[in-house]
Amino acid sequence: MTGRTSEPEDPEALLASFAPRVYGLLLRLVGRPDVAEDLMQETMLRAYRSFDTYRPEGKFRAWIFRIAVNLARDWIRRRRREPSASIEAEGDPLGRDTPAIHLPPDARMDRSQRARRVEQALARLPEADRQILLMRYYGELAFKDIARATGEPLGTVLARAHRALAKLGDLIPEDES
Amino acid sequence: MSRCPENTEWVLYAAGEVPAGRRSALEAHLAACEACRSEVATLRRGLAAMEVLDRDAPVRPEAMESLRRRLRAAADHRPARRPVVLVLWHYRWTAAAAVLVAAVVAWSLIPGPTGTIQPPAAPQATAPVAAQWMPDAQVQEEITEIAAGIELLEAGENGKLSGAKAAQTDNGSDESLDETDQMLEMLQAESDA
Repeated sequence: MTGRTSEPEDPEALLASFAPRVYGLLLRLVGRPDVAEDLMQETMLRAYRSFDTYRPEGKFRAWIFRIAVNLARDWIRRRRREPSASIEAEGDPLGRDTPAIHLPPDARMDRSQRARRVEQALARLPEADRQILLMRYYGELAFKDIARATGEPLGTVLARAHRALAKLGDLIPEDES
Repeated sequence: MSRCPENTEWVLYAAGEVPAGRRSALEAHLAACEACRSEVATLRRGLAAMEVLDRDAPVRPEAMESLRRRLRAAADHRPARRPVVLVLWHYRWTAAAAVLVAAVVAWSLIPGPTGTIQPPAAPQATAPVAAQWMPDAQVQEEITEIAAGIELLEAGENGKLSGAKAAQTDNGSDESLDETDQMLEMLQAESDA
């Protein structure tokens, strides 16, 4: 798995460089830009407080994305417990209540259409499966690193990834791959 | 054709995370297995589907500025790393106590004049202890001084005891002291007998 080749040594600069990716992951997990921004900042602050602990061990990137995923998970759980802000009342920010876009197989989708379709497919995945794919994509983490970061066995992580990738793969016609 | 590998291994293969030593075996299987080829193609399409998402999602400039501000504030409150000298200074008394204990232990382990540490010998039944132990002149002098000191201390204690006894007699409560005197007299008589 390829990682970032050159990362800034300064903690502030390093964390700021991760911000867009962490924000992107959080946005796909919680579906709300304002919440994703707050959680991104909280992620960075928590990472900063323990910067010296994790930085020298080369686990920093995996650790940042683990913090982000955990914060998103906590937010989703809290939100589910709040009756006034239930998904049913406000609609699903991730678009799970939006009908899927069904295009004719021969239609060539532009990038934004495909992105929308992938986002919808991601939103329909079980939360744990979605987290695996997002950590890999935004964090550029190998599956074994994701397993280490999440504390799950590698086999479990791979099984989740297989299920999620198979669903995403079915979205895209073979001639577009 | 060999047995089909687990689906989870195909995930690693599609993601390019299979060790080089295993890759050739998987590719040999793929060449002969249409079902696994289809499986890998689907997984690769799934991975490719993710690529349409913007990896670096645009963060509002206000949010980035807020992040930098909060990080700077956290940096201001971050405890600086203490130099080693300061850490040692913090534990100076503990270190001093440790050195003292080590010195005492080392002193107690220093061998005697014979060069070896000898366990105390059992007293001989046929010879008195004083005959076996002949201290040199300096030690003899110290022992004499210590004995004199003990006598002085005992005299002082007796004086205090007499004073205390007098005070208790004044208070009419010298019963326990009378019992002590009687016991001492009895012990003395037994010793004389």
